Amino acid sequence: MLKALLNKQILEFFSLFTGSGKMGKKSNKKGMTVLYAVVFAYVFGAGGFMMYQIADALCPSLCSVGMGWLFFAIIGLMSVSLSVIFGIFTTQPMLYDAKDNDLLLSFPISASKILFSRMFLLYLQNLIFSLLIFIPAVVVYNSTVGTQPLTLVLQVIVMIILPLLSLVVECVVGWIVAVITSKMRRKNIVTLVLSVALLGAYFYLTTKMTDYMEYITGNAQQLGAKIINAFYPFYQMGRGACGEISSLLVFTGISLVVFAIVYFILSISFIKITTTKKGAKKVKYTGQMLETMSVSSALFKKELNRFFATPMYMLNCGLGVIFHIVIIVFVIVKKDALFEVFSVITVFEHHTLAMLVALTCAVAGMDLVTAPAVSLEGKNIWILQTMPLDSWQVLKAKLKLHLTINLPSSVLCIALTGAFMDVGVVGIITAEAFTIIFVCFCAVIGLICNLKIPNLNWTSEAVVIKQSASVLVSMLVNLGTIFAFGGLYYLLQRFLPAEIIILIFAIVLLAVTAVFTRNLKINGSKKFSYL
Amino acid sequence: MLKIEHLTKKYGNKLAVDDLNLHIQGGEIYGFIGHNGAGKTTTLKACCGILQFDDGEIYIDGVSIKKDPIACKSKIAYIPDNPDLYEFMTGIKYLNFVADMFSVPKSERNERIKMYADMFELTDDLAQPIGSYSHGMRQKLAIISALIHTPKLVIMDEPFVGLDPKSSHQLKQLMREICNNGGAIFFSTHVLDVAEKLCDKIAIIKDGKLIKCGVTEEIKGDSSLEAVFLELEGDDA
Repeated sequence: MLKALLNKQILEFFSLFTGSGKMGKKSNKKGMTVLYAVVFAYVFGAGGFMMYQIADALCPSLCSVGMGWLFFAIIGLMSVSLSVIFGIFTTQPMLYDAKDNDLLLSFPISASKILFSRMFLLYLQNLIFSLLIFIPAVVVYNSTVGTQPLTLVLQVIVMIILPLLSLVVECVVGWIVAVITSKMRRKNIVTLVLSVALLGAYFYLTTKMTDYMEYITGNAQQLGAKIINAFYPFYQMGRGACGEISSLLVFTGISLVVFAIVYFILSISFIKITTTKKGAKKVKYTGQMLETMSVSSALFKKELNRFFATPMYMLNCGLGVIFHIVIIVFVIVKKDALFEVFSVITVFEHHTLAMLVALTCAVAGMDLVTAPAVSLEGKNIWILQTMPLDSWQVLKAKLKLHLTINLPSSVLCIALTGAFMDVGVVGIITAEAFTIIFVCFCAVIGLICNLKIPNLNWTSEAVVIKQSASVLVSMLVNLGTIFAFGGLYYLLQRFLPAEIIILIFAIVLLAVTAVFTRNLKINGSKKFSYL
Repeated sequence: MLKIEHLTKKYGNKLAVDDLNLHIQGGEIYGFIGHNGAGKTTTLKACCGILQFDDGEIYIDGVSIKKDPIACKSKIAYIPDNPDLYEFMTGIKYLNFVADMFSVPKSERNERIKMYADMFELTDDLAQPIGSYSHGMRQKLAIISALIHTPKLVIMDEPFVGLDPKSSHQLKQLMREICNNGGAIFFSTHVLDVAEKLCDKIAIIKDGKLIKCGVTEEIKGDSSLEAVFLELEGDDA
């Protein structure tokens, strides 16, 4: 029974990456494999490189004073923290809000098995995080102290066990949120506030990373003592990763026991949480006069309603707005520090305008409002398909939502940062032109990707928004476009001023966006009608 | 009102609908019966313009669904077998949204929503989110939304599933009323008693092929529709 449940979860997980329409058509398998190889290579390459830099800055100095275990303990803490920060957004919906709750609960399966199968999927997610963070650390450690086969085996075991601890923390927080919000009418707001707070914590820690690394290397002994007291399992984990078998056994034992306790507690409350009806007070309809709207306005309003009704959608696809504001504030407050950085890194010197455009567009490129927009229609897609309207109108409403969310903050970001960084009026105008076109480009790309790889058979919208193929591919295309223009800029900057280069790029991108939009209008509309 | 000519639809190598011909005239309630997987839903979806077909033609009130799907869709209403509606909307917002899609004038939409919501005893719940609705309530809402624009042709897939006896009775009366006003109903069902009493004509489909169609009385003869259906199923097995 449990095996069948796990199979179902794994099938569901992989269906996110293959995509499926109403009639169960699957996308080209070979193409998807290549695509995912590229996406994972990119994610692991970029993330792994960053982790390698951090590990390289910490490991040699800690190993030289015989505190290799502290290095692994810190890496372990980072792994758990990042897994929790990013996993907490999906934990609650994946554990408790799946659409197949009633179906599964009606089967002769214990609630604990249903819970276990869902936790298994979360474990896999955490394992990916763990590998991303741990593999560079293991590489750096072994190249610093020399590779021992037994130590390597123990390090692999640590990588497998550690995600259990992340899972425990995520589940406890997810459970608390579920208990608090299960009877709340405004459950979305609690989820949103908590998620923003966690993300804020993450970015705060990221900006302080250099300070922390200096502190760690300078105060290894004191910090080691603190970790032994406050994070004892991580002390044992660190020693285990350095080759101590007994420590690894202690760490494994602690992790398994803690997991078992949390699993047991969650199993008891699982049915209650999943079946508790929302405690919203019944509102009686009083028969007010209804207002009419044009078709395009009604479609846009529907898209807006969905966006603001789904905290996950807002967070994952509208986060760039907050980042743009952070950039604006940072530029205003730390303008001199930024110039200092630009002058130290010679590649950036005299290229303030290009840097501002790249930064603003990189943030806009991660706001993927359209990328899950078609998949989110899910089993409701028949409603729009049976209406007497051109599918292009539906797609336009989705594009409009993307622009409404992303365009104002992007435009404001360029205008204000450009003014504060003294890039000149012409610079600001060309930068605005490029940024506006880039946001339009991202909107179109997201929709094209989602129409190519739709997934209408989801059980949790959180996974469609966070992990579906179209979201990953759109992000890759958006960021790849910025890198491509960055490379071209590097080649052209010796011959042309930044304003001219950016203007040329804007014209090129406009042409590309126009071609894609035309393709979306003709082929995308047809595809949407029969998904 | 609905003319299906040589409709053929394949899923990969599987022939879901095979050269199906059917003509439904205004004023008729046409029942569509067949075993699970016979091709009923595929046919209904093709008639609504939400499923491409490989061969044949479908005309709604003389207009080809292939050539002018928007004109066709403005004349029809579709109620699927499972009423999956926008859970993030309230019932009334959903009805208003559908009315906007069909450009129903303000006074008419208010009047019709009130009339149908009262009829199906859903008025008090219209301000509630659809996410909190039971299956039956969603089905009622789907029916109301389908009738807002006074369609000429109503295509329904198992419309009585989830409805309480009173609502089921109301729906049957409404179906007859639509036909009395010149409209037509084309619906699939597994409830043969209902089909026998309600339908003017019946079509029986098996493995994608139309094996019998015509006036209900003629099809069942002195026997019951159930007996005829079971016999036909057995004959071809």
